[in-house]
Amino acid sequence: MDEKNTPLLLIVDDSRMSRMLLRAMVADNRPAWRIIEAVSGDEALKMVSEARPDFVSMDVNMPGISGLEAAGRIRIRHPDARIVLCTANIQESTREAASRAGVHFVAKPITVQSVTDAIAFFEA
Amino acid sequence: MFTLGEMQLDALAEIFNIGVGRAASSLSLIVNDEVLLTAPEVILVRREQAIKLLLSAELQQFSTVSQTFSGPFEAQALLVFPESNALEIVRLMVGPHMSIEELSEFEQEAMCEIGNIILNACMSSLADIFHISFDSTLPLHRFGNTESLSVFEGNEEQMVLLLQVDMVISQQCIQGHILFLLSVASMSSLLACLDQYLAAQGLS
Amino acid sequence: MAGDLGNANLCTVIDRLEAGVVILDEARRILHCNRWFNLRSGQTADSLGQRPFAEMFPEAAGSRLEQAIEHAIHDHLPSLLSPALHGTLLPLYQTPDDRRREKRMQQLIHVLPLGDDSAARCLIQITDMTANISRERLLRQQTEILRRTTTQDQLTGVANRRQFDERLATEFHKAQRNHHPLGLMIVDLDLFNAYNTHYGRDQGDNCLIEIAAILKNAVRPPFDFVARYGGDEFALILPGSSEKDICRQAENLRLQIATLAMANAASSLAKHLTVSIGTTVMRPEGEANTHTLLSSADVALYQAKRDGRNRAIYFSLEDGSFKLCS
Repeated sequence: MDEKNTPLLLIVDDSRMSRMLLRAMVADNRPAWRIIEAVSGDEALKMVSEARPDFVSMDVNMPGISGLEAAGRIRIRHPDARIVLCTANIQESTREAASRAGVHFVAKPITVQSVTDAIAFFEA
Repeated sequence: MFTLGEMQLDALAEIFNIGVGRAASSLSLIVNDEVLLTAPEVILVRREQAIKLLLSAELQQFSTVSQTFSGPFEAQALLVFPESNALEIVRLMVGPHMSIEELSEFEQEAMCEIGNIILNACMSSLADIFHISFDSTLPLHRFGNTESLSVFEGNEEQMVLLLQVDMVISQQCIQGHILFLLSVASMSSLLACLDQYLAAQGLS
Repeated sequence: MAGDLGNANLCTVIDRLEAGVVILDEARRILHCNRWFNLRSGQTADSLGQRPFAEMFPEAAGSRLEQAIEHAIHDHLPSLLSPALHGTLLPLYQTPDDRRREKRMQQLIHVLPLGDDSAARCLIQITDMTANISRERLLRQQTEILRRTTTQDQLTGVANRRQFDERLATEFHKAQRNHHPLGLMIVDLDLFNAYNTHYGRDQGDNCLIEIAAILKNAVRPPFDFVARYGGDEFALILPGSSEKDICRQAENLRLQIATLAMANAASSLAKHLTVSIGTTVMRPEGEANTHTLLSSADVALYQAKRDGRNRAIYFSLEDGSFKLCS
């Protein structure tokens, strides 16, 4: 496939383990996808305007701006990007905030199940 | 003395964050309001260093909830708050209209339960991810000064996994610590579980 | 040793206990419950035996008790449910008279794992705490339930979040239908945590009341609408507003609140309490939804905070730019 046509996924998480896990599981399921990583919401915003990812997986509790704010900003500038919040913060208020920002919610830990769920949302 | 690699600390922090995230969800169910719990960092220190860190706060009166977990490794887990912070948590959780008299009647049990929720959540997150299981004592709550706390009387060899916990309820941010006291043997078993997990995920 | 007592004897002992005992199996079915529990729950041993606990006590569904049972059976971890946080979780009554009056017993509940070796997996132990807890607490809980079901914010008297959500949806559709612009403003008290910590919550509450009053005075009912949006956030829905109008109104509100000069020694920004305001105007068309409108006002507010707070920022949906209101 042409490099330009393969979906690009941006993983945003301050935990190295989580980024690596997510990358490995997505690569298993969708070997063609290109994957880039950011360790904070601020870095993610920069990368989004440069790289224009199709999909974003976003942690919530990170140093700097929160994943929710970052997701909101990405959504306004790039309404086509599909965003999943992948977080240990599982309470109702976070799920609500996710739906308010129009993004999909996936609870940590990162498992085959949660990654399958996220991929299904990206491709829906 | 053990030292932990960057990946090991990162993994422990992430596992405990999943734990406190679940605890926050249980607490928010109880208070019907948003509760934020984060444990941004894990450090591994010797027992006497942990004491120094706790004492660096000017307050010498603490509220502690402790549970002893046993299984593939044994850990005494403590949730430690300065006493005034603990009272604040109970006041926020139980309700602002509660009088001090009422509060003092129940603060022990309420605090005990809050500790129980947080400590169980941390250990069950470890258990889930490592596919192991623990037994535990019921939570015990104590108010007391430094001398009466068990963390200050364990043996020299003990290691402490220390997490700072930030709790936000009703816009108030309250800080405390979670300590896991482990013997050298238990610490090695924990690390063995951790390394096995990382290897299984292809991350080591 | 328990072995010397024998099973029959042990059952008698459990039956005579002055505490409630319920034993569950792996499928969360009731294996055994003692006489104390039968009397207080008004259920016979036969009616409870072998039935799923969740079916017999639907109030436990989704509660912390259910989580505690899962913890005991799945994770082998014990839990404690305090009366201060749960009180009257199970329908247990001291007397038939109490049952008629729906006056439940105050409960301290321990949920303990029993291991994987026998059919009995989980022990629920209930202690009666009623004598220790005042009647006022019951009243307080009822007030609390009422508060949650109303549409008004109890403290400030403006609409609450629930009503806001409904109103925003209505106004959005109206604007969509009539091709009118719809303005949204979010007003956030700067560093309010620090204020509360410094002056105490009562004083903090007074601030919220005063600011709510200013906002109420500033809008044109019945078109405009003010709601308490979060702990220290208010939201204003302003139908028909233009960018120019809303910017001027936001800046006016900011100045008006500043001139109240509510002392704030905890603030690093000013000597008095200040607010940050995020605002936007949208012409809802086609696929647009309220998310975009809310996110835009949020983003403007984030920007106002990042720029140093104590300011009003307008976010333009047309060109994605920010503008300081003046």
